[in-house]
Amino acid sequence: MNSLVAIAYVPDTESKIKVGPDGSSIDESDVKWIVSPYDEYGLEEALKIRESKGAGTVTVVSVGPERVKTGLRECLARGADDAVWVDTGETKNLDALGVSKALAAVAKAATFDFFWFGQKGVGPDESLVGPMTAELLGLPHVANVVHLDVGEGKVTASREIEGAHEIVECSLPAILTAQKGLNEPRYASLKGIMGAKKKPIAEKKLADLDVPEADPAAAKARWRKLSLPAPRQAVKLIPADDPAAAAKELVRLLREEAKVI
Amino acid sequence: MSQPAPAPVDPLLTSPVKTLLSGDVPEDLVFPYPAIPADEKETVSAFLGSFRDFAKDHVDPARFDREHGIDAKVVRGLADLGAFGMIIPEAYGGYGFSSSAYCRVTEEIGRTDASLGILIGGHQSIGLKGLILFGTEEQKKRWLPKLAAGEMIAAFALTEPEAGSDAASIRTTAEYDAATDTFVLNGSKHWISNGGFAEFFTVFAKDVKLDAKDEHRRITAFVVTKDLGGVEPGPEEKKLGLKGSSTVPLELKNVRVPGSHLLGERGQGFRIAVEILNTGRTSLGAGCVGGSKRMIELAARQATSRRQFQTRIADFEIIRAKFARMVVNTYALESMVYLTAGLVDRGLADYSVEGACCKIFGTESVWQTINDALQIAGGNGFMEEYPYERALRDSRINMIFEGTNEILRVLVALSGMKEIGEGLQEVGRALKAPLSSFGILSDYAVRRVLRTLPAGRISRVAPALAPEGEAVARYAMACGRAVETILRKYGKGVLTKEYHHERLANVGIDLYASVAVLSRATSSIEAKGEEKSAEEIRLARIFIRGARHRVVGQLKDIDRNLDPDVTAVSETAYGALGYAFPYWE
Repeated sequence: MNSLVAIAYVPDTESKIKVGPDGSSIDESDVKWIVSPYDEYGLEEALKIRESKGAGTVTVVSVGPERVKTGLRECLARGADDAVWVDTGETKNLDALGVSKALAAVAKAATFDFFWFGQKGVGPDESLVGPMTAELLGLPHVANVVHLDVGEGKVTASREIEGAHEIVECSLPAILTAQKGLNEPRYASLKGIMGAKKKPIAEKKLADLDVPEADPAAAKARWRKLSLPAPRQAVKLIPADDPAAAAKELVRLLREEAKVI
Repeated sequence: MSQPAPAPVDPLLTSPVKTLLSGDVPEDLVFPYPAIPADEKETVSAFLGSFRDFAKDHVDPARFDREHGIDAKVVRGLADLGAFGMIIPEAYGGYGFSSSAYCRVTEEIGRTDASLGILIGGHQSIGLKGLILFGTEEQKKRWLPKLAAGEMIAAFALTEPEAGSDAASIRTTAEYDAATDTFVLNGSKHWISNGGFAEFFTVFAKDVKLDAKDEHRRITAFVVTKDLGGVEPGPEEKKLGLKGSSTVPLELKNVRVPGSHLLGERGQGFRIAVEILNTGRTSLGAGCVGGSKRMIELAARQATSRRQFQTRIADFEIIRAKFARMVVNTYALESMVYLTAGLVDRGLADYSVEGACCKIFGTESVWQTINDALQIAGGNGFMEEYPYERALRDSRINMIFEGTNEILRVLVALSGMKEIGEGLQEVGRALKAPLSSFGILSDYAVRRVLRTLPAGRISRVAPALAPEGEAVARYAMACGRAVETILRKYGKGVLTKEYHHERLANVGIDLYASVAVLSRATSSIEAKGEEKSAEEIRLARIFIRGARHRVVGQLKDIDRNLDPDVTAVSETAYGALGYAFPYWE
C-alpha cells in the first residue's frame, strides 16, 4: 500500500519567535526548523503500514523554500522511500488553499492509498490543509486519527473528539490527519541518515502547477499583522492575614489595575 | 557547498605540542583552523538531532544515577540509532566516522549524561578500538558487525589491583598450549567499564611461555568473548559518580582462548594497550566540552533569574568573572579538541601528546566549570534535586582514568624534551627508553618543521591578534630555552625531575591551547571579518592573557624554585605519616 505524507517544515516549538520588520511575518534569521510534530505521526503510521504489508512505498511531499529539503531528507532518513519538493521560489506565506492546491497537484500525478497530514501544522495551527486537499481531490477525509486498522480497500479509524472517540469506517484512497497518540515516531538512525543521501528528491516548481494563490494578490487569506503576546507581569502577592481586607484589595486591583471587572 | 578537502599532513611531521615545547610555533600544522567537510556536517547534524530527540524522550540522568544503571531499553534504543558503530568502518557494518565527527557526537553525549558517555565511549574508544587497529581481516569480519549493531558491547580489560598506572606489572597469565593452539587465561582484572554486560573484552595478559627481554614484551592482547566460558564479572562497584555506568571486577578462570583470538602478535600487547589509550584521549576531551557547555547553560539560567539585593546575581561582577572563565576555558578546550581531531583526520601519525593535552586540559577545565556553576547555584548546587552535585561527582574520575593526569603530564614533558634531547645525543638515548613505554611512535624520524621565519615570530595570525601571536611565539621560544637548560643541567637525570615535568607540561598545554585559539579566531576573522568576530577575538585575548600569566610563572619556577624544600616537606609528612606540626593537640 502506498502512502503520500505531507510535511510542513516549521519553527521549532522551542524557538523564540520574533516578528519581522514588515510586521506580518516572522523573523526567520535565528529560527531552527523542524518537521511539524503531527506530521511525524503521519509519517510513522505510513511507515508502519508499509512494514506490516511488506510492500508499498512512502513518499513525503513538502511545499516551501529550499530549506524544506532538509526536512524531507530527515523523513527519508526515518525510512520514507522518496520525496517531492514543491519549490515556492519567491512566493512567501502561501495561504492554506495555495498549499493544498500544490499538494493536490502532486497527488494527482501519484497512485496512493493514503495521504497523511498532521492534524495541524505547528505554528499557524489552522488545521486547513488536510481537509482542503481532500476536497480538492474529491476523497474522503478523517481528521484527528489516534488509532487505525487497515482492512481490504477500507480503514477503520478512531478519531478524537471532545470527550469521546468516534470510530469511522472509510474507503481508500483517503486523506487522514494524524493526532498525538497515534504512534511513537521512530528516530532517524545513522544507517537511515547515510542511506537518505542516496534517495531521490523530485523537484517541482510552484509556478508550473495550477496554483493561482502563488500570486499574493490572488491569495484568499493573508497575514495582515503578527504580534507577540504581552509579556507576563510579575506576580503580585496579596497578604492574606485579614481575608476581608485581602478580598477588598483583590477587587480593587482587578478593577483599577487589570481593568477586567 | 563543498569545501576543498584539507591538505593531508606529512605523517612524519613532528607533533605541534612537541614543536612548541622545543621553541617553535608549528604554523603549518595549526593554520588554518580545520573546516568541517559539508557532507560530514550534514550527517553529523542529522544524527545529533536524532540523538537529542532520543535523549529528550528516554535519557534521565538523575534516574540512571539513582537506580545505578542504564535500562536495557535505552541501550537497545542507542543501538538502533547506530551509536555503537560510529568509528567502525562501513565495510564492517559501521559508519566510518572521522575523528572530528566522533568527537562532535561524544561532545553531545557528554552534554547529556556522563554515564552514557562511559557506555558508548568504553565500547568504542577503548573496548573495540584494538580490534580496529590490530585485528586481522578475519577477526574484524567476525566481530565488528555485531559490535557496530550493539548486539555485543565491548570492554577494555587492562587494569588490575596491583597494576594501575604501571600497566606493565599485570599478573594475569596466558599459558600457551601449542598442541591445541590455545591460550589459557587466569587472573583478575578490576574496574572494568561496561564489564557487567559486555560480551567482548580486549584483555591483556602475561604470555608466560614467551621468550622476551623484559616484562613489557611478554604482554599479549586477546579478544576474549563471554561465550568462551570462565569469564566472570563480579558485583558492581559502589562509586562516587558515574553510577549509571557498569564498573566491575572480572575473574578469568581457565579461560581457553583459541589462537584465532590473538590480537596483534604475541608480546605486542603493551604497545597495543598504550596505542588504544593514546588514540582515545582526544574524544574524552570532547566529552568535557559537552559537559562544560551544559554547565554554562544551567549557570546562565540560574544567574539571570536569581535575584538578591534586588539585583540579578548575573549583574554582580564577581559572578561575571566566573562566566568569563567558564566560557573562555570552554572555547579554548573546544578549539584544542577539534584542532587535534582535525590533525588526526589529516593523517598526523603520532598525536599521543596532543591527545594527552586534550585529556588533561579538558578534565581539569570541566571540573572547574562545574565547580563555578555549582557555586553560582549557591546552596541549591549542593542539593541532590539539582544536577550540579551529580555533575561534580561524575566528572571526578576523569582526572584519574585513561592515564592519570600526573602520568600524562610526564608524558607531555618527556616527549617535548625528546625533541631537543635528540640534539644532545646521550640524553636523547636515555629519553627513548621510558618513552617507549608510552607507546610513542618514536621509530619515526623526527623532522623539525622548517623555519621560514626568524624564531619568535608568527606570521599567520590575524592582525587583530598579532600581539597575542607574538607573545605565544616568544613564550614558546623561552620554553625551548628552558628545556635546553634543564637537559644540560640534569642530563640523563632529567627522567626523574618531575617538578620540572609538571611545569613543562603546564606550559605545553597552555601554549597548545593558545595556538588553537589563535588559529580558530583567525579563521573566523578571515571568514567573517573582524567586526563579526569581535566576540571570538575577545575570548582569544582573555584566554591568552591568562595563559601568559601562568606560563611566565611556570618558567620562572623552572629557573628558581624551592624544590628542595618541597621535597623536605613531603619527607616530613611521610616520616610522621601525617601532619607533623602540633599547635593544640
